[in-house]
Amino acid sequence: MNLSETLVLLIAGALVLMVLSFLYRQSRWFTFAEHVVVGGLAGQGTAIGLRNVYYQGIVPLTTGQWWYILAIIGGLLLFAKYARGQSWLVRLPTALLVGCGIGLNMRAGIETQITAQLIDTLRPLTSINNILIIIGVCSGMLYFFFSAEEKGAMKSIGKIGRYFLMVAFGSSFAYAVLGRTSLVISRVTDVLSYPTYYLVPIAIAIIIYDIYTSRKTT
Amino acid sequence: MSLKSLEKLDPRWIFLAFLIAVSIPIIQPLGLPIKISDNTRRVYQAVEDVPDGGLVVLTPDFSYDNRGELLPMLETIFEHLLTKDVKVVSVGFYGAASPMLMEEAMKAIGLERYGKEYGVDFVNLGFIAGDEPAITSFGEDTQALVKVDYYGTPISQLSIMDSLNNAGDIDLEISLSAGMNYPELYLRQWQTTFGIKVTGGCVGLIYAPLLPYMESGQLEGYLPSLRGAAEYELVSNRPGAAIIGMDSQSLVHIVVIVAIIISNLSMLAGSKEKEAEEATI
Amino acid sequence: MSNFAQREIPVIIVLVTGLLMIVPFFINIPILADVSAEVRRLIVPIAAFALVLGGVDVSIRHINKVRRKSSGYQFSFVLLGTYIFFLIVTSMPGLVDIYTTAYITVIGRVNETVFSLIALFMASMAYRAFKMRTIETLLFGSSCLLVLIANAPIGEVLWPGSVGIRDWIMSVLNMAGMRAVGIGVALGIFAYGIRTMLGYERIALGEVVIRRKSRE
Repeated sequence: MNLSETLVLLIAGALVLMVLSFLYRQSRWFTFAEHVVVGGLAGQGTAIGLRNVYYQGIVPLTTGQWWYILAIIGGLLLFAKYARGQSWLVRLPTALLVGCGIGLNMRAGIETQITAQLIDTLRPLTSINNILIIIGVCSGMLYFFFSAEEKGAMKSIGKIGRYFLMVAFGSSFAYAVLGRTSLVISRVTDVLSYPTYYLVPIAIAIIIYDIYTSRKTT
Repeated sequence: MSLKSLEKLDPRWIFLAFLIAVSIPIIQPLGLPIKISDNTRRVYQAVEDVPDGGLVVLTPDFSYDNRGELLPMLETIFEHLLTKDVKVVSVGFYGAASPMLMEEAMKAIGLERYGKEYGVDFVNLGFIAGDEPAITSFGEDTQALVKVDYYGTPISQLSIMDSLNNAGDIDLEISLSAGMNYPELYLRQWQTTFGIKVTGGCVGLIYAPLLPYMESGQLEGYLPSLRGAAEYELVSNRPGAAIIGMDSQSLVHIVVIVAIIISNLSMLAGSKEKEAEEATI
Repeated sequence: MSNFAQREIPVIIVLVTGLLMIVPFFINIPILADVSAEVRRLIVPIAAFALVLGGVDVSIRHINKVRRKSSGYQFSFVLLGTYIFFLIVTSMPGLVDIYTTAYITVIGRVNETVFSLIALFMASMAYRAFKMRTIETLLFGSSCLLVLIANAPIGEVLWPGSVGIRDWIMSVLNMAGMRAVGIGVALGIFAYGIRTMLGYERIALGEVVIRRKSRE
């Protein structure tokens, strides 16, 4: 590993430890690292966006597809938010994006998210599992039926639905822990590898010093 | 220190316990066995069932914020694909970093090791903005939407792109998703119209909501986070970073379980004391 | 342009575009299908402009912060500096190595670290909030504990039966609950989509309705 690579890794390691310092308390170190990352992501996003505009918008225009000028105008209209009195123009390309999104969602969403799911729910009542699935899906859906007052049978069925939802959210949380922990593992593996592990004792020393000085003042 | 006093425990002790639990197996691996689930075998079989000469579209629908969860999965699945006689097209719809992650995986594995050539057996088409409209356009007429690859090479110069005109030419779509709606987008726009198979993996957060699609057969299984990646490494006999990380997962899970149990015991101790106080009054 | 036109033209665009996406999917009209496909391809550069807008907006906010010398404006210099650096290195073909190194090694790692904090806060939240006082919280906590045990390799070793219980919870109970949520969400999106296309919901178009309380 040459000197420049080591230096870059040390900078990255220092920034990572600055972010992890948030676990101890919010500090200027964390805010500094946060601003570095936000600036980097914003800069990269802008550049990639411009690249996409060029290849997906301007190149077709130069190859005879004149109607792509509408896309360029539409995209530029998004910046009308900075024009005093004309900011309503932003709604035009937004409406196009929203209309397209709604249409695409609705046209195939019925089959994918509703019909296919309902068909799979209607299983033969030959096993306890199938019965539980039908009860769970029906009662869960009825729980979300807010137009009618929750009383009598509606209330009891809604309660059963809530129980199924609580089990679902609990297991969902367990998988979320599994997932997010992977990120911590990845980061700690990084911190404990060369050359970042040289920074760990420095970080611990700074925290111990901070604990000592804050106890002294209180 | 009584159980009741633990109710107001400083959360930083939990953070410390968590970080120690993560660090110990990194310094000293435990080598705990991992059982392979039917779900993982289903994903593996979906990849195995791609016929020789087939086309697979691999979409890394995640960014650097989920790198630790999904990059090991991307690497192991990509390596599995390279051992087969299939063409792999990678394209990103989620964010600007998707093609960079694909490039990282490509460099880590090395196409030459498996006798593959860029532009002939594999191509990285980069990121295309637009979410669902972009996915729909890609599926309807790929050649009309995509002009260049990630490196700026015109697709007319890449022979692999001759076999991809629309989603009907795809034998398998593998999506590694950080966003809940991403598998749904491929199901809605590619599977509904062209009937293609969809599989892949996701972050832990969205695994449970995707189970209905696996049960209904719309998804050919889906791998959950690092655990799914570790199981896939085992089933394809290519141990990697995911298996190494599972030891830390074990200790962290124990920390969280113990935290929940202690929290409830301290709550019970507190309520018993309160009942006793009220009884004396 | 009149207030009426400013409010109604976007709604008309949503309705026409929405129908343009839906109708050709069900009714085979070749010219409509071609126009629909072309509109979808036109969306891509507009969405790319939205990416650019996001980055530009962040930089403008921080430039204004520096101009006004608002609290913490010194950090805005850091942000603007990294913004310009990455804007340049990402755009220039000759600086690909610097871009890749700087992004993957620095920004990518720090970004991942920010998200990894969530795991630690989830553990702390589990400690403080998972108190099983009612039936609902008991079900939530129990299913969470069972799945946590089974997901960890050490859990499988200590209690081999936990895997079977987890698989049953996930494929029956969780699946039923999540399917109910999924169908409910899909129906909700469908209804919201129709309301937006008909102009009853305008929040998606950036129109905020302020209802004043009548003075009696």
